[in-house]
Amino acid sequence: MSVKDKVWLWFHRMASPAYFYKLAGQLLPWCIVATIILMLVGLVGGLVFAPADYQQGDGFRIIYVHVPAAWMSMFVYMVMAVNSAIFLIWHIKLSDIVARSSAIIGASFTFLALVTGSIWGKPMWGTWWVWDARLTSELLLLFLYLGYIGLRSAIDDRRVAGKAGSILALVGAINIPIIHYSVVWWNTLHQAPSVSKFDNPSIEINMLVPLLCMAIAFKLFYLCILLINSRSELLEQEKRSNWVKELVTSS
Amino acid sequence: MNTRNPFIAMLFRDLRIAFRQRAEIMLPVIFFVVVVSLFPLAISPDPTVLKSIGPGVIWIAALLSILLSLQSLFRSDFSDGSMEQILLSPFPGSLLMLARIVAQWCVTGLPLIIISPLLGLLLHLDAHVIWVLFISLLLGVPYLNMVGAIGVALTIGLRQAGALLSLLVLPLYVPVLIFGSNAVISASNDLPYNGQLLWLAALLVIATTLSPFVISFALRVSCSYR
Amino acid sequence: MISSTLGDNSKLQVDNVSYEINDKLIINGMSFSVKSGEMLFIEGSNGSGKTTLLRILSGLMQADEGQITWNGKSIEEDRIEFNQQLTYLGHSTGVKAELSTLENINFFSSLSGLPQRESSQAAIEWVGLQGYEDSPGRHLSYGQQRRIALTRLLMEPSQLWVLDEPFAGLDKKMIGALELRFKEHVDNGGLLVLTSHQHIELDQVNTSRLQLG
Repeated sequence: MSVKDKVWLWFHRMASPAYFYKLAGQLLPWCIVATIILMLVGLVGGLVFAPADYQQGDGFRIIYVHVPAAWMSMFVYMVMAVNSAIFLIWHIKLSDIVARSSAIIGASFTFLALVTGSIWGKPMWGTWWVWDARLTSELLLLFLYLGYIGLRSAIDDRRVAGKAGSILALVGAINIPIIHYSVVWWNTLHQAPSVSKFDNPSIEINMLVPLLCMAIAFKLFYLCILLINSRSELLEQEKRSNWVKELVTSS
Repeated sequence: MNTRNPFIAMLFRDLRIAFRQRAEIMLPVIFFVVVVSLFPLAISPDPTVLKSIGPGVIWIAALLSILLSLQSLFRSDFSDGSMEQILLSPFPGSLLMLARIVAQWCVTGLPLIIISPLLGLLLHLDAHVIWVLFISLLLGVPYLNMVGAIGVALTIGLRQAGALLSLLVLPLYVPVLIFGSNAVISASNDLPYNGQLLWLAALLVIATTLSPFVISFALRVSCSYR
Repeated sequence: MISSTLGDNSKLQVDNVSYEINDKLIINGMSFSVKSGEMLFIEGSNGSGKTTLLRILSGLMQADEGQITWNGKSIEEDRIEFNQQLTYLGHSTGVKAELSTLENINFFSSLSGLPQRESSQAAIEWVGLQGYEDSPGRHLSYGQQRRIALTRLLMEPSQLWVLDEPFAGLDKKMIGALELRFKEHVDNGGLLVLTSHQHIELDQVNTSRLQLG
């Protein structure tokens, strides 16, 4: 069997709902444990062991939530768009479930990034909100997420909601780089050049390690929620199939 | 007129329908003028203030007016069953949809672009700035029509379609709003504005190539549910 | 006028089609086929899925499972070919309120993509709308609007007719004319799929019946 065949076989098995349901169930406890450990390490490292910033004091410690949340907000949209494309092209229901559960998590991360960014802005700039390129992009990203969620929830029929949502997610994915570029460009015109607090030129290793721990913890947290959501959605969608009937009768 | 060319047939059908509802096609333009004339009342009649906010005001008013006119796009086709016939015709949906958007632009976008120099005068913009405003709208408004039509195609037949449409479409309008109003602002500050106009042109090309396919696919999806 | 024979070897095949609405399996693993020179009469009470089935047959809706083939090719794959041979009449007439009878008819024929079988004028006479050529759709009654939609049956040289309640809102005389046209179509090798509350019986037409719900 060639490598290509093996990849396809794996792909098909992953796409088979019964197999995925079982796999997800086995994976979930490990994911939860890893999430908790990494989050504890990241938080303790960031809030206790990392040195205070010489300019911002302890205020900078919010980056341990803000930066991973901002990374996640983009990452989740990408996952959503890729899964939407897979759903539209190969009609794999699992991808639709992933896209759908991602939207709410992604919107939450985006919201978190906005709130923490704004809280951070208060000691930094002395105001709760600054039309900074990144915050503005995050705000627009939040609108894109809300539009996706709004569209899906307005459509009663699940099949139609899946397709319409996928189209919107892909249109959004094409537009995100353009929106982002235009906002950055707009920002350079209007903002007096200031020291960007986001690009700290030299970040110390004991600041970086907790940050990376938090970033991975956030990704795992996302994975946990995806697994939980996918499992329950799968049961709902496949309620007529034999494997669900067997599952219900055996338990 | 009876033609075998489906693009022309579609275009003429839509134009004919639009011109038989004169009151309705005038509404977006009137809305455009009214919204712009509210700003001096709300902010200040001072020419220097108007000069600085003018480009943004006209661009936002144009954007809202297009959004308003989009509400009725596809609506009657959807309710009277002609959308089903369009989707079941042996011609590519994207071609027919392109004709629909061109017609929609002729009756909503074009009048707005034509009247914009007048509004530029009301807001005390200089002649060469008004020229840039005109060009920026000429390049940007069709983009608003096309991307807006994607949103309409996705929300057609839903409850609260109007509010949802704004939420879907307005974030996608941001790049055009930024480049469009910025080109005009740069012109009024005697700065180069070609870059912004080129961006608008590039976005227009992208939208023209992609959106007819997306619209026709989205309509197929929306129509499969009733 | 184009030659009236439509060929006699076309086949619409429905394989194991299922569709669910609101968690209810409306159509459950349905299979049947219609060939040239055959009429399929779909019966069933309200809400039994007649309209849904017709919309799936026409390709407006996608079945959850199973597939529909036209002459051996999936209708999803070969949409252009299939749409060219399809005339679908749904509940909504597709008549634009702002356009006159003649403009509506001409637009239908531009969309059909094939040369007209009969002139627009002949079609207007067939449905008895003489004198209404220039009346806008909004001035016409529902029955008259339906008649405009029915002109497509005279003008389009398509093989497969999928008709949802074609007799709704029509008087006896028009129903009679329509039944004659159905017979002519099937005799010429056309395929006819229809739903109706009315009982129709066409003499010497190969009719199969499908009971839904």
